[in-house]
Amino acid sequence: MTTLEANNSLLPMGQGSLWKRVKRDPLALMSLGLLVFVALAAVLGPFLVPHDPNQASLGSVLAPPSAEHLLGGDTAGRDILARLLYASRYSLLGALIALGTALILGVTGGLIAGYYPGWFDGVSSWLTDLIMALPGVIVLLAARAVIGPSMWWSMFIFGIILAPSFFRLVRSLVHGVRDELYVDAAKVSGVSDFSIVFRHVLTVVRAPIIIQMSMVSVIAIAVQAGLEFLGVGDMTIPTWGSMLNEAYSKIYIAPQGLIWPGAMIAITCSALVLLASAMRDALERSRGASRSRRRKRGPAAGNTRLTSTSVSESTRSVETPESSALEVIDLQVAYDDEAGRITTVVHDVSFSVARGEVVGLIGESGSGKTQTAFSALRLLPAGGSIIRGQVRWKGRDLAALSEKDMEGIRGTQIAYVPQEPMSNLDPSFTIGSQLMTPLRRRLGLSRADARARSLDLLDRVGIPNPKRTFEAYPHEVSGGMAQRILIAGAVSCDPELLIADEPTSSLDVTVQADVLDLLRDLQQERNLGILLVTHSFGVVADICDRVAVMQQGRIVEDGPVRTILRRPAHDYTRSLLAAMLQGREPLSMLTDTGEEGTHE
Amino acid sequence: MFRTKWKVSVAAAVAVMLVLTGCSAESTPEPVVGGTLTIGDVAGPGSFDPVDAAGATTYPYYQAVYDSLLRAAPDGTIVPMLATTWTYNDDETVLTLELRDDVEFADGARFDAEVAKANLERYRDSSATDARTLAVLADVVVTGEFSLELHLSQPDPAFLVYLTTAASYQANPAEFDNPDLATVPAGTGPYILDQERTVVGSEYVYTMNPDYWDPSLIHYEEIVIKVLQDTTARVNALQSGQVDVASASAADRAVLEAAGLTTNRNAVNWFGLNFFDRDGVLNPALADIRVRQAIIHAIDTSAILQSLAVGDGTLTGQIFPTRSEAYDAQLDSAYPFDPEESRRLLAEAGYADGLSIDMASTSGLIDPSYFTTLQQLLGDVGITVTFTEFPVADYVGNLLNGNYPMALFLFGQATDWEIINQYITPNARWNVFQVEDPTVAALVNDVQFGGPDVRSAALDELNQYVIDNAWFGPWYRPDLLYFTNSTTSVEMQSGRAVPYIYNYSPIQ
Amino acid sequence: MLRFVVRRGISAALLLAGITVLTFFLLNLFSSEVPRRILGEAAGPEQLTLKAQEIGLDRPLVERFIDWAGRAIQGDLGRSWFTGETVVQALGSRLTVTLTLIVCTIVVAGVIAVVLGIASAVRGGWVDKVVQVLGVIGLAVPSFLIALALVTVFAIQLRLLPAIGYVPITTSVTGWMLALLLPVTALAIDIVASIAQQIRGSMVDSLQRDYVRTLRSRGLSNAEIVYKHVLRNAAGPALSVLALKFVGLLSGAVIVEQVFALPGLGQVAVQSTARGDIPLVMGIVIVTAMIVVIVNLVIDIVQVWLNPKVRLS
Repeated sequence: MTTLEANNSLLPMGQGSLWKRVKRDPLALMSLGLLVFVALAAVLGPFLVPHDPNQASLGSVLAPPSAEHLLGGDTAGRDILARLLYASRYSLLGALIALGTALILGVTGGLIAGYYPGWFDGVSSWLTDLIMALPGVIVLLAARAVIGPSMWWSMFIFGIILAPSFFRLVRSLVHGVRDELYVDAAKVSGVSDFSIVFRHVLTVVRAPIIIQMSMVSVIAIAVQAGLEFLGVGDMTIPTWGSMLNEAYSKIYIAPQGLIWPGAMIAITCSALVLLASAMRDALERSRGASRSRRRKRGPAAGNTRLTSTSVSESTRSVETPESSALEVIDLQVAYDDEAGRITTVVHDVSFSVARGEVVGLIGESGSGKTQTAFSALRLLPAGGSIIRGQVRWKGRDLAALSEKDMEGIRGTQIAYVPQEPMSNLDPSFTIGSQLMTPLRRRLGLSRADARARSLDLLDRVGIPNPKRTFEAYPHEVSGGMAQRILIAGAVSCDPELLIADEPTSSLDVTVQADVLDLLRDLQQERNLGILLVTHSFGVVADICDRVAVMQQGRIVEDGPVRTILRRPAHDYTRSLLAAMLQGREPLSMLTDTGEEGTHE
Repeated sequence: MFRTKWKVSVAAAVAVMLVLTGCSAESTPEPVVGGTLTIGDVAGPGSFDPVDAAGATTYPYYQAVYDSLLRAAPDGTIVPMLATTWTYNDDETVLTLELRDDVEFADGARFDAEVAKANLERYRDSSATDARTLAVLADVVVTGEFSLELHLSQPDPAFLVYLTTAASYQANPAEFDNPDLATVPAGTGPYILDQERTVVGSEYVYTMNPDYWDPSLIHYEEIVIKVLQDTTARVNALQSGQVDVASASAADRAVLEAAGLTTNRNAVNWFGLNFFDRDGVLNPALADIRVRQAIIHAIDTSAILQSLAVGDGTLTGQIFPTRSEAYDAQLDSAYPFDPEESRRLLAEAGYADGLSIDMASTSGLIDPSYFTTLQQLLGDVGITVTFTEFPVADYVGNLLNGNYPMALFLFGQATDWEIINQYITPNARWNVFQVEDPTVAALVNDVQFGGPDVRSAALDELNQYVIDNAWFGPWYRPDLLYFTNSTTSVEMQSGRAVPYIYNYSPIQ
Repeated sequence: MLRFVVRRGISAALLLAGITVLTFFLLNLFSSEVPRRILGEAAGPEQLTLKAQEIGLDRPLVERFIDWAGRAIQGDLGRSWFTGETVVQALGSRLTVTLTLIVCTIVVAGVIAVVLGIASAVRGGWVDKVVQVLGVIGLAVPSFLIALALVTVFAIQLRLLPAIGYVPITTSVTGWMLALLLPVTALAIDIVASIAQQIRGSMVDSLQRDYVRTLRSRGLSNAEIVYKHVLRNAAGPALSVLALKFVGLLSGAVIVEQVFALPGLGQVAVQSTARGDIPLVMGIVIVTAMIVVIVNLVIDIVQVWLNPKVRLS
């Protein structure tokens, strides 16, 4: 059946908030209104029209609309309006039977199978597969051969066919929450298994089930109409499908007969689909919101203004070395939010990185340091843009370059080492292929050359068995290895400048030092410039020549590492340093610089 | 009106005239042979084994590949086919046939008297739908290479007609036990089934048999029969020129005529009520003749014909067709529409407060409008009808099994003797409760054994008797409508719903 | 990989066996009326008894099943009770039409869906709107209703396309295309809508992935990233949707074939189930179940190929 797109990804969510969100969506409200209207028509309609839906009046055969028959008469002289209303009643009842059957079987089965894995889970999952391998309409046709043309039985059987969609949904949701704390807690507190399932789990699966219900209803209505249209349904009761069947046989004389039942099906089902998608959007939005709040802390924090003249002055006073390659001048980065408001996350930032120089950009999460780094590569996430300032590189302003020209600079001139190694490798391609592609595209190497060079690079970055790693998929290597691979990828096309975004922060402490060593070695070997984004003064002390301290989108202080570490001018720098030192052995460099300081 | 599948409807509507002597009609002059004829048909045939040919509506499929011993011309006249002459003895119990001596099967086997004997006996002893038509065939005696005598246990006035049907299709005996006979016909017919292009159940392609013994029966180089169960699909196909000829419902006539198609009419059935339960086994009320009469009086047959059948039919009150010896135009108006009279009769019978009758319905076969109208009209005189809906395939079975006291259906009008044996005698299948009546028994005996004059008088009396006793409530004889395009002509087959394959010819 | 295929193969075989047993016994419980259906109203009791013997209704059910299953395993599904055609033969020609219809629908819908999905993910704007509207129509309006609308407009009113029938590709390529145009359109809308939406969703998701930024940082062109990396990662979920839609497509084809009088599986399914032609119904159920199982198996294997992570689990 077309349904079985169980929305397993939906996270649990309470009922109330779903309703509140849907209530705010005009399209969803309209759909809901339409559904209520159709339901009312089905329930009350028959009492409002004076005609019996089966009353054949020989004088009204295919009669045009009139005061007596508002929609006219059908092929047997029956009142179309009356038939349409009764048809709505029967069609909806039929759909409800299918829905109810599917719901009862699927939800109970799913709850049990999800909560108690074991033989029941095995058997019911196998049965589910069995049912899902059967084309529903053919089963219904065969069933009809056995039990006769009863719409009620057909819809009951169809309910069984549809049950797997609920079963799978509920089973996987229950699976997901089974081991969660609150269920365990409930167990400990001595609540019986039965009420655990029904009190906790049911609350969790409620919203996704409601969404699935409207999709299942759509399928039930469509299949029922299809069967009746084929003429294999129960012709004694009016339904949308049987009306279509009758109208189709008279399509040449009265094609308008197709319109009413067709429109009822289309309207009802569209309303259900729109409602379902509105509910799904609402669910996803609530889930997405909490996720993006976590992710976009950076931009959000930029709202607060910080003005400190001294800071600004110090920023401007950055001296620009002559050998400088990358020069960021008065950079300002901003994001559009959904409401169209612009939030500036990087304010008037200026610094430079010379060839062969390692510059640290340090700050807390959300200080704008990563945004600054991305700006240099023009790789800001969607919504972000450089609204002012320049990124000068070899006499050109990268901020004003076309995307095409920018592609010519990335990789071969300025390269990037990301923070999170695993998520930065495409899981679907081998490591080798991901290394080779830039070599072939950017440097025009042949397959064989690209392969040889990739293997060399892997060897160079300290991968023990380059061949095996070359053929491996990203999920087959460790995080440290992945970071080495990404560094290999970054230097593969001989860039002059590396932008490394927290290259060690997600690695094990034991690996961190090795990776930093590797970076330093490569930097010296190739005379690279490095812009190192970090939140750790340890890293800065370890590798950087100069450092700029960022806070809330601004550079509050910068200068040679020794100077900053020895005599931090800004309070923020001092607090950063203090936080780092708390409860730890002082870094050697710090103590060294302290000594050196006395010499000066 | 009868929207789909007439297949299970009236099977044995057979030709009119019984030509009892061995006269043979002149064969028509060499006809023009057209290219391809495409026919849109309602239901495909079953297996191509002749014993599986169920019902006259599928005969054309078999006629293309099998020859029968005798043939019915479009007007019902019996003409020679594989048998060139036929003669009865005096008491009509021995039929002598002379066969053609120049007919061969595809494998070179000769068609002769032994083959004919084998086929007739096989059909009689098979599970064929109409195997009973040869029940009176006691013995087949081969008297020469191409002559044989059929010995009948008793005279059967319709026996010659049966020899024009599936009962006498001649298949190659070498293939009798080959299961492939179901899809690879082994006959001597005017066409050959093209196995490659045929899709069983949906499209049958026949090509001309170049060696056929009577080229005058071949009017096309190729015949394609498309199975289009749905009326609308047939109308679409006719309008778009995808078929040259097809049946359609009365409702579509105006549209099709406007599109330039020609209407061909044929009335082969009567439509109406059959009161099975005349002894009151299921419903005691129906044992009362006044109740049956009241029911007939309650039906506004004229309005039904005009509104639901768009006037394509002829009102009737009797089960014998106009061409029958038993037919009497006066009897058609024996029970006019008269609700007052109906209520009076019911009151007289003691049902002034109404009564209930259970009936079966099948919307797949008969437009539900008819059932609802019947329910309405009987409701108006106080009779409550409750319908149980059945799939098309089970409707007839339920009626024949005696589950319902009366039924609305389309009944065939074949030859008089067949009508008697289908509806009137205690063994007739549509005399579901096997109601016996001494008057009827005597009249039937006269028809069978009385010779021509006695037969004619007995038929008149019999018709009058069943009408007086309200055994049946016929409404009208619907016209079956065949639509042909401008290059195709068709002669309707008397007494048959579907024209025979020989009846199509191209218009130049 | 091999173990995965073998394991899936065994469970598929079990599944088919289950379906077979269930269908056979359910159908045969109610087969007593079949001789009457085959022979029609005119047949007498003797003929009915004879027919019942001919098709084996007088034998015990279990014996019949063992007999049937024994031959079915060797590929002999018996003969239709009505036409005498072997079931394999009967389904063979029908299956060609239905599979042609379905494969064309999937190919056409797939191509359109990928184009629309990418366009709406990358460009947004009106394409996005079209995909969303299509999504509602495709999900909400049954394919046979779309088919009815198409016939009414294009075949009956405008007379542009044939209303009914099928032309084998061997007879006429244009005829074949014209005959399939409307039925394929009717079936494809739903598929286009759901796959385009799925592709759009997973592409939008994939485009935000970290590795996309890293790939861009290597100087790869946007096109290469979108068409090679993002699309491949979006293909998995889209294929899952297709697998689910496939069963529905079979059901939809049954009904749509009736509208266009196509000589496919749908026609024979409606006929044989109405008549109780048990050998043929058995054949249809088994063959369609087999197709579904095989298609799912193939899609699973492709999934594994697309997403190497699955291989481990």
